[in-house]
Amino acid sequence: MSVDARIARGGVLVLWAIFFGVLWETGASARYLGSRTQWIVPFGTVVLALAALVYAYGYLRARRGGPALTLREASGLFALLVPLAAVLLVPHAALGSFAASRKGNGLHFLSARQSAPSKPSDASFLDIRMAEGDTAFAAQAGIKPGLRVHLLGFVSGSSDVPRGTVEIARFYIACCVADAQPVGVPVDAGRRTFAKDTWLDVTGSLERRGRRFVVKGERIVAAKEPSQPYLSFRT
Amino acid sequence: MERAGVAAPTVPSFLRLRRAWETGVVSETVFGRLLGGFVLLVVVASALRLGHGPAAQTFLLVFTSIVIEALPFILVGALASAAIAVFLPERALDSLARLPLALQIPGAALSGVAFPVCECGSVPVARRLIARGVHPGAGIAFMLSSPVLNPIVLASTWVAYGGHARGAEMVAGRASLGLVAACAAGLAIGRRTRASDLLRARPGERAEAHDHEQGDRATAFSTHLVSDFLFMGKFIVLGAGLSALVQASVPESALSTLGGAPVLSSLALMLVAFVLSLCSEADAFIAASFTSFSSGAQLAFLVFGPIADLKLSVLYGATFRRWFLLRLLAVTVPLIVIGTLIFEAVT
Repeated sequence: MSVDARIARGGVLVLWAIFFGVLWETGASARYLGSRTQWIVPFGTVVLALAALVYAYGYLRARRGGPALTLREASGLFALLVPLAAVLLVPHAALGSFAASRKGNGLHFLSARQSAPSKPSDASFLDIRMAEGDTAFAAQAGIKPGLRVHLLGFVSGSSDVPRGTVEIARFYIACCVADAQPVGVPVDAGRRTFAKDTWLDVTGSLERRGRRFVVKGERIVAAKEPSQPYLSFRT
Repeated sequence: MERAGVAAPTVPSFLRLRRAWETGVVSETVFGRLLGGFVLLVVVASALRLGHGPAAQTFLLVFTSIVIEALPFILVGALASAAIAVFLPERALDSLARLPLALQIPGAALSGVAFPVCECGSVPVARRLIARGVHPGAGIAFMLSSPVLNPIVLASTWVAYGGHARGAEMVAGRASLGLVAACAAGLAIGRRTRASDLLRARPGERAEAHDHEQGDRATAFSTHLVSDFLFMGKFIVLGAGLSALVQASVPESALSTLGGAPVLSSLALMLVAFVLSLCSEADAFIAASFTSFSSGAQLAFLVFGPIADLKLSVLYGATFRRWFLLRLLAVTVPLIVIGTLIFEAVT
């Protein structure tokens, strides 16, 4: 007996609606989308659920025998299940040092000219990188040598840092992970070494070394990866 | 009647396979086995931690994020497409079709302002408009202009370039070059092309038409909606996979350092845009970050990305005939390069 294609199509639609609902409910969407595109998840949940309802309504009204599912269509429906399987494979994945080595040089998003932090001590990775080359922004944000900062990031393994420092970084997202770019800040951790992708909670003071700001680490402790591993810039 | 002793013509095995693939019906048993196999594959891959390597994680994250971001817009496009197919009166587009082509194409391109979805959503709508009688050139112009001209995209471009004069310049450059490229592509590709020569036939379309002819609009709408969504969705999955594969395997710096000279730098950033497959509503933030490239090259990235990228190429391949993408590139690439040179000269 053949499979009614309409039931298979409806099933895929319902699975996607549930998936978006779970992303929305659990907040897991932060692993895939930036803060400015988070609205896509509730929007997608509602639109997909409505589409599933409309389709179910149409199916119930038609009632007559529907088209049989062909091999070709079945393959397409299974292809649509692949992203769901991908999420199940690595539910807590986050971009790390490997992606940082593939995705740019840490200077991305500087041109977005985010607004200054409300307090100098709230300076983030991007603020510090912006302050390195933009004296007006540095003055406005109060970012200068001696400022105490607190940063949480992963060890990127970048070699483009002043000697004797290790870079910790965070990915910034404009829209989704596809456009994520790493922004790193060098940390002087003395003689301590850290494995790539180790999350570090760093408190220290900024020092100027050449063109870069370096955090002179006063307290450096290994930390758990935050629930929202990516940052978005302020505009 | 077949004569005794004369063998029936043999059908090549690949044709038989293709026919079986296209028309072979899946029985409940086979479907159950396929589904079981799929679930088993996921369980085994999960147990073996196949997705836990850094390269695999990067691939899976980029892949899923592109799909998650694009699918709701595909659905919005499918909604609009189904509404056009079912609720738009048969003669509603006749008046548009009677206009001279020189008016139709720019008119269709400008109407993209009113359709605030990214490029994934505009493809099913354009396909449906062409199928319903809109001139292919006008349909193409609409499809290419709406991801560039829509207000959300222009606003995000303005913000990404910090507003003020620089933001205004980039918005004006993007809107005008995007409009010109869309009209030129519409005119060059669609001028002497019939809808049947441009659009690929889709499996299941006869059943949709049958539902429509039965007069039950609710059923027809839901059939159109879901078949458009699922049809486009699977190609978005494929395109996102290709883009993620390139992003996880080729360092971005290798692509973005390809060009130094004016024309080469534009071509290099167009290649980057093609590979990254970013949504047009966010690409300006990336374009603005290519500070080592000229503003003209950044403009090339902004205009070319919504016209052609890896995921769109797969979608175009499923929607239009094979030659479409090549002709689209042949028309738009030189035009965008020239446009960016002019932009650099006047700004």
